[in-house]
Amino acid sequence: MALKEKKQKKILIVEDELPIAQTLQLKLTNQGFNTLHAQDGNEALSFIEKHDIDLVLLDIIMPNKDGFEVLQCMKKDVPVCILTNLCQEEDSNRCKSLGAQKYFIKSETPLSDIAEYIHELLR
Amino acid sequence: MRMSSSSTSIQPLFTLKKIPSLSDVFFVFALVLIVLSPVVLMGLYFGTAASIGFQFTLFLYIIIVCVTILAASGIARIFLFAYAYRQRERIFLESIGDGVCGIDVHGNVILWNTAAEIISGYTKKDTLHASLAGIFSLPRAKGKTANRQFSDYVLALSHNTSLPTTATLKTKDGRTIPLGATSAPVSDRHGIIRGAIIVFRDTTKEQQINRAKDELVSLVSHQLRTPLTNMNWRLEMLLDEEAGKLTDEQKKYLAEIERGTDRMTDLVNLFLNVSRVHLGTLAITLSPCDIHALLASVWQDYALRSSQKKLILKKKYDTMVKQFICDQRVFRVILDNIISNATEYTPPKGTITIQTKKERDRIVISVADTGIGIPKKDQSKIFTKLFRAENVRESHPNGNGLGLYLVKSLVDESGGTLWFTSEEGQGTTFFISYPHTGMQKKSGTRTLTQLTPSHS
Repeated sequence: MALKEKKQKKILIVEDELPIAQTLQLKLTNQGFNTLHAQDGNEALSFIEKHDIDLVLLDIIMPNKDGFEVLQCMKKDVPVCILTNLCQEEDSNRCKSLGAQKYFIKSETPLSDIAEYIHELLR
Repeated sequence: MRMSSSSTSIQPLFTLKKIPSLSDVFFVFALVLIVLSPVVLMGLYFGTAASIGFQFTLFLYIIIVCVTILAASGIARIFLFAYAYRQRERIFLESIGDGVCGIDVHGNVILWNTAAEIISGYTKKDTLHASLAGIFSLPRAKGKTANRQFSDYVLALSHNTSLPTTATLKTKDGRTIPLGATSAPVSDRHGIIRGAIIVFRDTTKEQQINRAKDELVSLVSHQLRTPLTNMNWRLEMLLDEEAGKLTDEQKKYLAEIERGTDRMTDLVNLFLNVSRVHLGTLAITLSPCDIHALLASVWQDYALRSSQKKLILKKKYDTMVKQFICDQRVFRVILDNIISNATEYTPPKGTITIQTKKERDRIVISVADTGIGIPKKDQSKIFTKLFRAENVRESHPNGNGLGLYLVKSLVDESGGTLWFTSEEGQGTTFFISYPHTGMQKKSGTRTLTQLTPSHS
């Protein structure tokens, strides 16, 4: 039952690096979430428009529109968790001021921490 | 060469060196003759010659003229010789490919060669007898208030030396170019210093190459991070048995792979950090922090390792030291490396003593271990990039020789001092000292990447 409830939660993974996106998708599917994958900022924005998304995992450095622009252009109020390799304090501050909930640095964060955080947030 | 007309007698930089030869002797003889001949002749004429009725004849006149001509040409040759000799030295100096600049004891320029003109844009006319201070500059030394003028600095050294790589030259058209320069004192025959000679070259190209190298390291490290992250994540999932149950044997294999990827991650982060310091992009942003809490948190990362080795931790904290204004990431990386080394290089059941102390206007943090120590002959090189002491190369082949180099660069960059005392086989104590007012702020575009604890 609990698993079925979680199935309803839809997570959009915005990531241009395919292997990373696949790993995230696999992990989150294993955890019982429904995932979508967008390769760049533009695709991400159209997915956010079309689908009923519960959480966006957003990379920053991407082709077309980067993570900052996605944050600026988003019209819906969907929680956003940044998942990036940029480790500058100002980047993290900028994301937070643009409305991001959380800022993870990919190479410094175990996958389980990310999954745990998502569980907390979407409970 | 003209000399400045001050009370101190300044000797010319080059004096005519006589090479004694047969022609020299002849010229001197000729000189004596030309001075003495009229006197002798007069004496002959008025004295002896007149009394015996000797006439001042045409023949005598011709002899006098001949001697005079000979003597005159001799003198001319001496001057020509001297001129050619000086010319030769001048040409050699002029032809040196590096900038050559001579200064007197007051720091005024007395020599400026062609290469110096080309590098700086200043001609001899511009520079001769002008003060050097406006042309060369030494940037403010870190942590020191007095900005020594270039010429004072050069003269004060009074021994052959390479000038700091931070020395720059201001060209006539207003550009500031980096310099590689050496300075040597010029002393007279009594050993009194009369000035200095500076040989310099434009190192813009070298610095560009260095920069390109650092940028490459930075780029490669960045590129390596994504696949490494993916490897780490997949491994984590495998070890969490998300892809099916594992046998103990398989877990062992995977744990070994994980150690490898962790080490690679550490190295990549270390390279990134070093390149940030080199490229000058590292920012040092200040905020108050509790030193003792930070030390506790760093130690926490090594608690497991040290309890496995049964290490004893002694804390000698000075309650006067508490709040410290610093960049916490930078400070953490510094303490992390020092404490990591202490736990790594101390044999089981050893003691690590962490001490904080307020000494007048400075804060000193020391980490002492009872480890293998640093051999005497390696001590001077311990902060050199990629250097590893002989005794750890065998016992700990996995080190990379970048940790202490990074620590030293970071401490220097943030206005602190780092030193150590060590006795091989007895232990090592590292000291980190900062003004009690805190670290020195620095603007930049990058911060440090934290290392994953417990490895390396």
